[in-house]
Amino acid sequence: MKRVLQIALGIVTSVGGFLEIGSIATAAQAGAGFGYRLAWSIVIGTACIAFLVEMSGRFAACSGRTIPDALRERFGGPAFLAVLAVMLCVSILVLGAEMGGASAALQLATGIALRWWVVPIALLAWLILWRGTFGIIENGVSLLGLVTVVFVVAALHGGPDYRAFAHGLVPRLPAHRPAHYWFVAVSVLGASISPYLYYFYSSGAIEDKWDVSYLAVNRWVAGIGMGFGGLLSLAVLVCAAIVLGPSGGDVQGYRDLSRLTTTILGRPGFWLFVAALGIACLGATLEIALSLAYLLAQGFGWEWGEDLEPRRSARFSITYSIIIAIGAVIALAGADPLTLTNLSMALTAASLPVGVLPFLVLMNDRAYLGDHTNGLLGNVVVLVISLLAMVLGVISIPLQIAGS
Amino acid sequence: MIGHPEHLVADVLDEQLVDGTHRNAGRVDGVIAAIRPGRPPRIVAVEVGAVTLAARVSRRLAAWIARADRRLTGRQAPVRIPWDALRYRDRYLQFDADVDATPINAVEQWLRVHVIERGRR
Repeated sequence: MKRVLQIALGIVTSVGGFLEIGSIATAAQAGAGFGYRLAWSIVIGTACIAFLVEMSGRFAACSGRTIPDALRERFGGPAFLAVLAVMLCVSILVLGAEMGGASAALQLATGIALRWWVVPIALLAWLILWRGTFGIIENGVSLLGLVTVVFVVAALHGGPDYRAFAHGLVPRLPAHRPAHYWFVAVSVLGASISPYLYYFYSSGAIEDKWDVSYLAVNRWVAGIGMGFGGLLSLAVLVCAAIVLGPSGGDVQGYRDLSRLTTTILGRPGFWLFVAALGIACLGATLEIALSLAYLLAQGFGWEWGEDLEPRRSARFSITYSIIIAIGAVIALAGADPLTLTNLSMALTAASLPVGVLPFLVLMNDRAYLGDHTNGLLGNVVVLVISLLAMVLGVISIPLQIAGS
Repeated sequence: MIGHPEHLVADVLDEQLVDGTHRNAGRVDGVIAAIRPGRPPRIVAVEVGAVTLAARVSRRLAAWIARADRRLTGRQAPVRIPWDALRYRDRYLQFDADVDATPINAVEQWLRVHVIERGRR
């Protein structure tokens, strides 16, 4: 019974914590610009992150180690520093986008400009991390994130074209604007396969003291939780195809995003959207800041743990504090928040192999996993999708920048 | 991996260090050997600290970090733990001292005293 409850809670928190500004904005742009044609990118992105999350939980449960710990040990300091540098650069951009998203939710709610909300959001995130426990972040914020189910309600109410949607699940070449099509596809992949997500999950498994008896829980949580999370992204795409697609337009700003649910569900839809955006982005802000602090602390061998008092893990606590401050500076720097979101998601996709390839090597190492190393399917799915994301990213990012 | 300790780079370098109370105490960032003319080299210590790690990537980066480290903590050189003081415990390398009593945690202690506890007062 206890295991069933753990699985249920894990699935619920995975679903509640799945959406963030990247997945909302990129799925909306896919739907607005190309109708249902890019649904396939969400499906393969979700499949990849489900495999990666399952692997990271299995790795922690079997080896008792986190990914950065093993990366440093297996590949050495200089290789670890290279992964760290790429992860820091890309994830801090994503953090800036998430803080911008949370601030945009407050702008929509109050009419007060986004820039005035960045510092309060940063302080709130810092306070939750400084005073809170891992359980509060893992369960509390993710449970609140279930409000994102509003997108599914809106998609079903909106009367989608199921036949066109089914066609969109199969990858096809674009009918028009190919550079933008591939750029949005890459951004969707980057938003779905966020490395911070599986780093966070792996550290969480150690914080929760998982061992091999949790392998079944892990499999269910990763598979079903991420699967339902992917459905939320698909629902955003469907809403955008219904609401914004007919006008053939792109998503120009956060107000366009709020139309996704408001047009279909009316005023309650607007307020549910604001809550969904705010909570999802705040949750992602907490997870990214913690993930990067975990990455540094575990790689350098410091004391770490969200449940430790800050004075007992001073470098770890100061690290996430500084990371939040840098994220706030990026959010305040004046870049268009949606442009920042798109760029950071595309860069995430383009840099995926940097973190994923060494992780796959670890996942096939019996010294860490014993008899629980990867099967062929997991290796192939993750390898192919992350290389595809990199190739598409390297080609489409310059084309998109040149085109715009 | 520990279990094949004859492989110095693979099994000792970059391993997690823990102190006598099992608290994380950094990683083995460098291994120091005594080179003795006409005699076999002998491992004498491991080094811990960002300066040593940075030196494996770039001497210039290491010099820059060393300057910052000196200014912040007063440490004049990377911390060394004698080879004889290390023991294999579980999956880690352990030494008996309390990490807070060594210069390994100088930055941790500086942050604790000057940032976290000052903020509480």
